Amino acid sequence: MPKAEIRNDIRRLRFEHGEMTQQELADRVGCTRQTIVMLEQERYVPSLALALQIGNVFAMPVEAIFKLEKRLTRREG
Amino acid sequence: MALILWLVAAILLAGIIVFVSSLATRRRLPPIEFADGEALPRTALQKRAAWALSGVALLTAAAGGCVAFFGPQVWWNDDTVRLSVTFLLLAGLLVYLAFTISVRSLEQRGDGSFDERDALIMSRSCAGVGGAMMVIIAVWMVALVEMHIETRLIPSYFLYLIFWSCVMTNVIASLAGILLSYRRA
Repeated sequence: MPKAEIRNDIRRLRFEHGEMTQQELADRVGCTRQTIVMLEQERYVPSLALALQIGNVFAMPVEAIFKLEKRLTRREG
Repeated sequence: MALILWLVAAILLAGIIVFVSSLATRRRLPPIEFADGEALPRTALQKRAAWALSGVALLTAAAGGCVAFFGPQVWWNDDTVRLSVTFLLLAGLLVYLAFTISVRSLEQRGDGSFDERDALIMSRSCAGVGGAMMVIIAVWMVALVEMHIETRLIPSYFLYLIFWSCVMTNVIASLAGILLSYRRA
């Protein structure tokens, strides 16, 4: 099975929604600011529940925020 | 070799193993980018684990220092020394108990100060405990066999020291595991 990475647009969406701070978003979805930082840096993949809560905050479906990106292997190069 | 040197060697070896295994299992990720003057905010669990680790490590080091300073035989025969060492170790366990209670209260608060990532990190934190325990037991085995190779008689009070070192290693490795997991997750 090819490996995939999950990309997201949380950082852009925060700025588009009244320059919302990381702390404001964290408070609204019920997580720590460190988790928001890690999500934006794409170092942490959220649970479905957290992804849905982020979608609710931005009033967007989850698939519009999170995108599955296929990682190319060396053979596929 | 003196017992204290064996213990220092054991702690160093355990530290090297934990560090190397953390490097080996770390995902190759780009560094986190921050704006000028900004740093990664620490979570409530991270702060509590750092405080608890400092406290437990300090109390364990004090207890180990007492045993090493007076020697295991004096520790065993002198009630004052033995009770002092036991008090220090129990104080270390109380610090750990206070940490677990405070983490439980964080979880129950439900205000976002303890989230799913913290829970994931907590569940991963015990990964290195088994390895650290194996190292400690191996060092005790080698040290005691080498120390008593001529008489082939190992004093029974070493069982107490082995027990306490296993308990404290377990606690310290669990707390260190939380802090290390934050660097990887």
